[in-house]
Amino acid sequence: MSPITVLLAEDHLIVREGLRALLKAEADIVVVAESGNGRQTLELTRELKPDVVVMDIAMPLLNGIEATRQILDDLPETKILILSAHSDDAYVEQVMALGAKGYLIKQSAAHVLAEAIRRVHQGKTSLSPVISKRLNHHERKARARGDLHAKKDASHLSSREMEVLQLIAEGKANKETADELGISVKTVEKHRQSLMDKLDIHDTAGLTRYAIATGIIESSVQVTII
Amino acid sequence: MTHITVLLVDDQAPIREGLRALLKAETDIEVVGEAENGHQAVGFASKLIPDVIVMDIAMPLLDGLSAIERIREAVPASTKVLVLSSHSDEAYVQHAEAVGAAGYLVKHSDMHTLAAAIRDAHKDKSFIRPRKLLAIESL
Repeated sequence: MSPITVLLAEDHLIVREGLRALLKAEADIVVVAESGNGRQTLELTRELKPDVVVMDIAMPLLNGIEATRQILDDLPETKILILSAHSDDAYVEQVMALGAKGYLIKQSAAHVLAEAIRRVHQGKTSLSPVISKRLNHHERKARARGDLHAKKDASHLSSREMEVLQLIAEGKANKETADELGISVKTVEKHRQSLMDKLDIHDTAGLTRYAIATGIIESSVQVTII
Repeated sequence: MTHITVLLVDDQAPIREGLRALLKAETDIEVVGEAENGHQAVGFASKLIPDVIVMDIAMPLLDGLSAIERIREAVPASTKVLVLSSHSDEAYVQHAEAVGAAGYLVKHSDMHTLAAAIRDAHKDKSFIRPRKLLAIESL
Protein backbone atom coordinates (compact mmCIF):
# COMPACT_ATOMS: atom_id res chain seq x y z
CA MET A 1 0.00 0.00 0.00
CA SER A 2 1.40 3.42 -0.86
CA PRO A 3 2.08 5.71 2.10
CA ILE A 4 0.06 8.84 2.85
CA THR A 5 1.93 11.86 1.51
CA VAL A 6 1.92 14.87 3.80
CA LEU A 7 2.88 18.52 3.46
CA LEU A 8 3.71 20.28 6.75
CA ALA A 9 2.73 23.97 6.74
CA GLU A 10 4.00 25.73 9.86
CA ASP A 11 5.99 28.95 10.15
CA HIS A 12 8.12 27.86 13.10
CA LEU A 13 11.06 25.93 11.68
CA ILE A 14 11.89 24.07 14.87
CA VAL A 15 8.26 22.93 15.22
CA ARG A 16 8.22 21.67 11.63
CA GLU A 17 11.46 19.79 12.19
CA GLY A 18 10.01 18.22 15.31
CA LEU A 19 6.77 17.18 13.58
CA ARG A 20 8.75 15.65 10.73
CA ALA A 21 10.92 13.72 13.22
CA LEU A 22 7.78 12.41 14.96
CA LEU A 23 6.05 11.36 11.74
CA LYS A 24 9.20 9.54 10.61
CA ALA A 25 8.26 6.82 13.08
CA GLU A 26 4.98 6.18 11.19
CA ALA A 27 5.63 3.68 8.39
CA ASP A 28 2.48 4.61 6.43
CA ILE A 29 3.08 8.40 6.46
CA VAL A 30 5.71 10.28 4.43
CA VAL A 31 6.37 14.00 4.76
CA VAL A 32 7.04 15.11 1.18
CA ALA A 33 7.56 18.82 1.84
CA GLU A 34 7.52 21.61 4.40
CA SER A 35 6.42 25.21 4.02
CA GLY A 36 6.86 28.24 6.24
CA ASN A 37 4.00 30.44 5.02
CA GLY A 38 0.63 30.15 3.32
CA ARG A 39 1.83 31.24 -0.10
CA GLN A 40 4.59 28.64 -0.18
CA THR A 41 2.01 26.08 0.96
CA LEU A 42 -0.17 26.89 -2.06
CA GLU A 43 2.75 26.56 -4.47
CA LEU A 44 3.98 23.27 -3.00
CA THR A 45 0.48 21.79 -2.84
CA ARG A 46 -0.14 22.61 -6.51
CA GLU A 47 3.25 21.15 -7.43
CA LEU A 48 3.32 18.00 -5.28
CA LYS A 49 -0.40 17.29 -4.71
CA PRO A 50 0.07 15.71 -1.27
CA ASP A 51 -2.74 13.58 0.16
CA VAL A 52 -2.89 15.62 3.36
CA VAL A 53 -1.77 19.14 4.26
CA VAL A 54 -1.14 19.63 7.99
CA MET A 55 -1.81 23.35 8.23
CA ASP A 56 -1.06 25.93 10.89
CA ILE A 57 -3.35 28.98 10.88
CA ALA A 58 -1.18 31.89 11.98
CA MET A 59 1.39 32.13 9.19
CA PRO A 60 2.94 35.17 7.46
CA LEU A 61 2.05 36.41 3.94
CA LEU A 62 -1.04 34.20 3.70
CA ASN A 63 -2.70 32.64 6.72
CA GLY A 64 -3.84 29.02 6.94
CA ILE A 65 -7.52 29.89 6.55
CA GLU A 66 -7.04 31.60 3.20
CA ALA A 67 -4.53 28.97 2.08
CA THR A 68 -7.15 26.32 2.87
CA ARG A 69 -9.76 28.17 0.84
CA GLN A 70 -7.49 28.49 -2.20
CA ILE A 71 -6.19 24.91 -2.05
CA LEU A 72 -9.70 23.49 -1.85
CA ASP A 73 -10.83 25.72 -4.73
CA ASP A 74 -8.03 24.34 -6.93
CA LEU A 75 -7.58 20.82 -5.58
CA PRO A 76 -10.75 19.80 -3.72
CA GLU A 77 -9.50 16.24 -3.20
CA THR A 78 -6.69 17.51 -0.91
CA LYS A 79 -7.42 16.79 2.75
CA ILE A 80 -6.63 19.69 5.06
CA LEU A 81 -5.89 18.99 8.71
CA ILE A 82 -5.53 22.15 10.80
CA LEU A 83 -2.97 21.98 13.62
CA SER A 84 -3.17 25.22 15.54
CA ALA A 85 -2.45 26.64 18.98
CA HIS A 86 -5.79 28.43 18.76
CA SER A 87 -9.17 26.87 19.29
CA ASP A 88 -11.19 30.09 18.99
CA ASP A 89 -14.59 29.62 17.39
CA ALA A 90 -13.74 32.18 14.70
CA TYR A 91 -10.91 29.97 13.39
CA VAL A 92 -12.62 26.61 13.76
CA GLU A 93 -15.91 27.56 12.16
CA GLN A 94 -14.27 29.33 9.23
CA VAL A 95 -11.95 26.51 8.21
CA MET A 96 -14.48 23.75 8.73
CA ALA A 97 -17.00 25.69 6.62
CA LEU A 98 -14.34 25.98 3.91
CA GLY A 99 -14.01 22.19 3.83
CA ALA A 100 -11.08 21.32 6.08
CA LYS A 101 -11.40 17.72 7.26
CA GLY A 102 -9.91 18.11 10.69
CA TYR A 103 -8.87 20.53 13.42
CA LEU A 104 -6.40 19.59 16.12
CA ILE A 105 -5.14 21.89 18.82
CA LYS A 106 -1.40 21.76 19.42
CA GLN A 107 -1.94 20.54 22.95
CA SER A 108 -2.89 17.16 21.43
CA ALA A 109 -0.41 14.31 21.91
CA ALA A 110 1.76 13.43 18.94
CA HIS A 111 0.20 10.00 18.34
CA VAL A 112 -3.15 11.81 17.90
CA LEU A 113 -1.66 13.68 14.95
CA ALA A 114 -0.69 10.50 13.08
CA GLU A 115 -4.11 9.01 13.74
CA ALA A 116 -5.83 12.20 12.56
CA ILE A 117 -3.78 12.18 9.34
CA ARG A 118 -5.00 8.62 8.65
CA ARG A 119 -8.61 9.54 9.39
CA VAL A 120 -8.75 12.61 7.16
CA HIS A 121 -6.98 10.68 4.40
CA GLN A 122 -9.88 8.22 4.54
CA GLY A 123 -12.28 11.15 4.18
CA LYS A 124 -13.33 11.11 7.82
CA THR A 125 -13.44 14.14 10.09
CA SER A 126 -10.96 14.44 12.94
CA LEU A 127 -11.43 17.03 15.68
CA SER A 128 -9.82 17.54 19.07
CA PRO A 129 -12.44 16.52 21.67
CA VAL A 130 -12.67 20.06 23.08
CA ILE A 131 -13.49 21.44 19.61
CA SER A 132 -15.95 18.70 18.74
CA LYS A 133 -17.85 19.32 21.97
CA ARG A 134 -18.00 23.07 21.39
CA LEU A 135 -19.06 22.80 17.74
CA ASN A 136 -21.94 20.52 18.72
CA HIS A 137 -22.96 22.94 21.46
CA HIS A 138 -22.90 25.95 19.11
CA GLU A 139 -24.80 24.09 16.42
CA ARG A 140 -27.53 23.14 18.85
CA LYS A 141 -27.80 26.74 20.07
CA ALA A 142 -27.82 28.14 16.54
CA ARG A 143 -30.53 25.70 15.47
CA ALA A 144 -32.58 26.70 18.48
CA ARG A 145 -32.27 30.33 17.39
CA GLY A 146 -32.85 29.43 13.75
CA ASP A 147 -29.85 31.45 12.63
CA LEU A 148 -27.35 28.77 11.65
CA HIS A 149 -26.51 30.49 8.37
CA ALA A 150 -27.06 34.06 9.41
CA LYS A 151 -23.59 34.66 10.82
CA LYS A 152 -21.61 37.62 9.42
CA ASP A 153 -17.87 37.27 8.94
CA ALA A 154 -15.10 38.01 6.47
CA SER A 155 -16.16 35.17 4.16
CA HIS A 156 -17.97 37.61 1.86
CA LEU A 157 -14.57 38.97 0.83
CA SER A 158 -13.02 37.49 -2.32
CA SER A 159 -9.78 35.46 -2.04
CA ARG A 160 -7.80 38.40 -3.43
CA GLU A 161 -9.40 40.81 -0.94
CA MET A 162 -8.53 38.43 1.91
CA GLU A 163 -4.91 38.31 0.71
CA VAL A 164 -4.73 42.10 0.46
CA LEU A 165 -6.34 42.44 3.90
CA GLN A 166 -3.74 40.13 5.49
CA LEU A 167 -0.82 41.95 3.86
CA ILE A 168 -2.21 45.36 4.94
CA ALA A 169 -2.58 44.03 8.48
CA GLU A 170 1.01 42.74 8.38
CA GLY A 171 2.11 46.32 7.75
CA LYS A 172 2.91 46.02 4.03
CA ALA A 173 2.67 49.18 1.88
CA ASN A 174 0.60 49.06 -1.34
CA LYS A 175 3.78 48.69 -3.43
CA GLU A 176 5.01 45.74 -1.33
CA THR A 177 1.57 44.14 -1.50
CA ALA A 178 1.52 44.60 -5.28
CA ASP A 179 4.97 42.99 -5.61
CA GLU A 180 4.01 40.13 -3.31
CA LEU A 181 0.83 39.35 -5.26
CA GLY A 182 2.23 40.10 -8.72
CA ILE A 183 -0.43 42.72 -9.47
CA SER A 184 -0.33 46.49 -10.02
CA VAL A 185 -0.48 49.07 -7.25
CA LYS A 186 -3.68 50.34 -8.84
CA THR A 187 -5.29 46.91 -8.51
CA VAL A 188 -4.18 46.70 -4.88
CA GLU A 189 -5.82 50.09 -4.26
CA LYS A 190 -9.01 48.83 -5.91
CA HIS A 191 -9.10 45.70 -3.71
CA ARG A 192 -8.30 47.79 -0.65
CA GLN A 193 -11.20 50.15 -1.35
CA SER A 194 -13.55 47.27 -2.08
CA LEU A 195 -12.76 45.37 1.14
CA MET A 196 -13.00 48.59 3.17
CA ASP A 197 -16.46 49.18 1.71
CA LYS A 198 -17.56 45.60 2.39
CA LEU A 199 -16.30 45.66 5.98
CA ASP A 200 -17.29 49.28 6.53
CA ILE A 201 -13.85 49.94 8.01
CA HIS A 202 -12.07 52.91 6.54
CA ASP A 203 -8.60 53.10 8.09
CA THR A 204 -5.57 50.80 8.25
CA ALA A 205 -5.56 50.58 12.05
CA GLY A 206 -9.18 49.46 11.97
CA LEU A 207 -8.40 46.82 9.33
CA THR A 208 -5.47 45.55 11.39
CA ARG A 209 -7.66 45.30 14.51
CA TYR A 210 -10.30 43.49 12.48
CA ALA A 211 -7.70 41.05 11.06
CA ILE A 212 -6.42 40.23 14.54
CA ALA A 213 -9.91 39.91 16.04
CA THR A 214 -11.10 37.53 13.34
CA GLY A 215 -7.95 35.40 13.33
CA ILE A 216 -6.71 36.47 9.90
CA ILE A 217 -3.39 37.35 11.54
CA GLU A 218 -1.92 37.02 15.01
CA SER A 219 -0.63 40.22 16.55
CA SER A 220 2.87 38.69 16.85
CA VAL A 221 2.95 37.68 13.15
CA GLN A 222 3.73 41.27 12.24
CA VAL A 223 7.36 40.97 13.38
CA THR A 224 9.51 38.13 12.08
CA ILE A 225 12.84 37.33 13.65
CA ILE A 226 15.45 34.76 12.44
CA MET B 1 32.64 14.00 27.30
CA THR B 2 30.19 16.60 28.64
CA HIS B 3 26.72 15.29 29.30
CA ILE B 4 23.97 17.91 29.44
CA THR B 5 20.63 17.09 31.05
CA VAL B 6 17.64 19.03 29.73
CA LEU B 7 14.09 19.71 30.92
CA LEU B 8 11.65 20.64 28.12
CA VAL B 9 8.81 23.00 29.03
CA ASP B 10 6.05 23.70 26.49
CA ASP B 11 2.27 23.36 26.74
CA GLN B 12 2.06 21.85 23.25
CA ALA B 13 2.74 18.13 23.34
CA PRO B 14 3.79 17.72 19.68
CA ILE B 15 6.42 20.42 20.19
CA ARG B 16 7.80 18.73 23.32
CA GLU B 17 7.76 15.33 21.68
CA GLY B 18 9.27 16.73 18.48
CA LEU B 19 12.08 18.47 20.35
CA ARG B 20 12.76 15.29 22.32
CA ALA B 21 12.94 13.29 19.08
CA LEU B 22 15.29 15.83 17.51
CA LEU B 23 17.55 16.11 20.58
CA LYS B 24 17.95 12.32 20.60
CA ALA B 25 20.40 12.78 17.73
CA GLU B 26 22.67 14.91 19.97
CA THR B 27 24.84 12.43 21.86
CA ASP B 28 25.88 14.91 24.55
CA ILE B 29 22.32 16.08 25.33
CA GLU B 30 19.75 14.05 27.27
CA VAL B 31 16.13 15.08 27.86
CA VAL B 32 15.38 14.06 31.45
CA GLY B 33 11.90 15.48 31.78
CA GLU B 34 9.01 17.37 30.19
CA ALA B 35 6.61 19.89 31.73
CA GLU B 36 3.48 21.39 30.19
CA ASN B 37 3.09 24.55 32.28
CA GLY B 38 5.12 26.89 34.47
CA HIS B 39 4.04 25.29 37.76
CA GLN B 40 5.09 21.85 36.63
CA ALA B 41 8.36 23.32 35.35
CA VAL B 42 9.23 24.78 38.78
CA GLY B 43 8.43 21.45 40.46
CA PHE B 44 10.41 19.33 38.00
CA ALA B 45 13.33 21.77 37.99
CA SER B 46 13.59 21.59 41.80
CA LYS B 47 13.42 17.80 41.74
CA LEU B 48 15.59 17.00 38.71
CA ILE B 49 18.09 19.92 38.86
CA PRO B 50 18.71 19.69 35.10
CA ASP B 51 21.67 21.45 33.50
CA VAL B 52 19.45 23.38 31.07
CA ILE B 53 15.73 24.13 30.93
CA VAL B 54 14.23 24.92 27.51
CA MET B 55 11.26 27.12 28.39
CA ASP B 56 8.26 28.34 26.37
CA ILE B 57 6.63 31.63 27.47
CA ALA B 58 2.90 31.42 26.70
CA MET B 59 1.64 28.59 28.90
CA PRO B 60 -1.41 28.01 31.10
CA LEU B 61 -1.38 28.24 34.94
CA LEU B 62 2.00 29.96 35.11
CA ASP B 63 3.76 31.58 32.15
CA GLY B 64 7.41 30.90 31.34
CA LEU B 65 8.81 34.24 32.51
CA SER B 66 7.15 33.93 35.94
CA ALA B 67 8.35 30.34 36.13
CA ILE B 68 11.94 31.49 35.49
CA GLU B 69 11.69 33.93 38.41
CA ARG B 70 10.59 31.13 40.73
CA ILE B 71 13.20 28.74 39.37
CA ARG B 72 15.95 31.31 40.00
CA GLU B 73 14.84 31.43 43.65
CA ALA B 74 14.45 27.67 44.15
CA VAL B 75 17.05 26.00 41.93
CA PRO B 76 20.87 26.35 41.97
CA ALA B 77 22.37 28.83 39.50
CA SER B 78 24.09 25.94 37.74
CA THR B 79 20.73 25.23 36.10
CA LYS B 80 20.46 27.54 33.07
CA VAL B 81 17.16 28.53 31.49
CA LEU B 82 16.91 29.02 27.74
CA VAL B 83 13.68 30.57 26.46
CA LEU B 84 12.25 29.10 23.23
CA SER B 85 9.25 31.16 22.21
CA SER B 86 7.21 32.27 19.23
CA HIS B 87 7.30 35.84 20.59
CA SER B 88 9.94 37.83 18.77
CA ASP B 89 9.46 41.24 20.39
CA GLU B 90 12.58 42.72 21.99
CA ALA B 91 10.52 43.48 25.12
CA TYR B 92 10.17 39.74 25.79
CA VAL B 93 13.91 39.20 25.26
CA GLN B 94 14.74 41.95 27.75
CA HIS B 95 12.20 40.66 30.25
CA ALA B 96 13.68 37.15 29.97
CA GLU B 97 17.18 38.47 30.57
CA ALA B 98 15.97 40.54 33.54
CA VAL B 99 14.40 37.55 35.29
CA GLY B 100 17.53 35.45 34.88
CA ALA B 101 17.27 33.53 31.62
CA ALA B 102 20.60 32.50 30.08
CA GLY B 103 19.34 33.05 26.54
CA TYR B 104 16.41 33.51 24.19
CA LEU B 105 15.60 31.73 20.93
CA VAL B 106 12.58 32.11 18.69
CA LYS B 107 10.81 29.09 17.27
CA HIS B 108 11.87 30.13 13.76
CA SER B 109 15.34 28.86 14.73
CA ASP B 110 16.48 25.46 13.50
CA MET B 111 17.53 22.46 15.53
CA HIS B 112 21.26 23.12 15.16
CA THR B 113 20.78 26.57 16.66
CA LEU B 114 18.87 25.12 19.59
CA ALA B 115 21.48 22.41 20.26
CA ALA B 116 24.28 24.99 20.06
CA ALA B 117 22.39 27.35 22.40
CA ILE B 118 21.87 24.53 24.93
CA ARG B 119 25.63 23.87 24.91
CA ASP B 120 26.45 27.59 25.18
CA ALA B 121 24.00 28.09 28.04
CA HIS B 122 25.52 25.10 29.84
CA LYS B 123 29.00 26.63 29.40
CA ASP B 124 27.67 29.79 31.07
CA LYS B 125 28.32 32.00 28.05
CA SER B 126 26.88 35.51 27.96
CA PHE B 127 23.16 35.99 27.26
CA ILE B 128 22.20 34.27 24.01
CA ARG B 129 20.12 36.54 21.78
CA PRO B 130 18.06 35.93 18.64
CA ARG B 131 20.43 36.27 15.69
CA LYS B 132 18.52 38.95 13.79
CA LEU B 133 18.26 41.18 16.84
CA LEU B 134 22.03 40.93 17.22
CA ALA B 135 22.44 41.93 13.59
CA ILE B 136 20.17 44.96 14.05
CA GLU B 137 22.06 46.08 17.14
CA SER B 138 25.41 45.88 15.40
CA LEU B 139 24.34 48.29 12.61
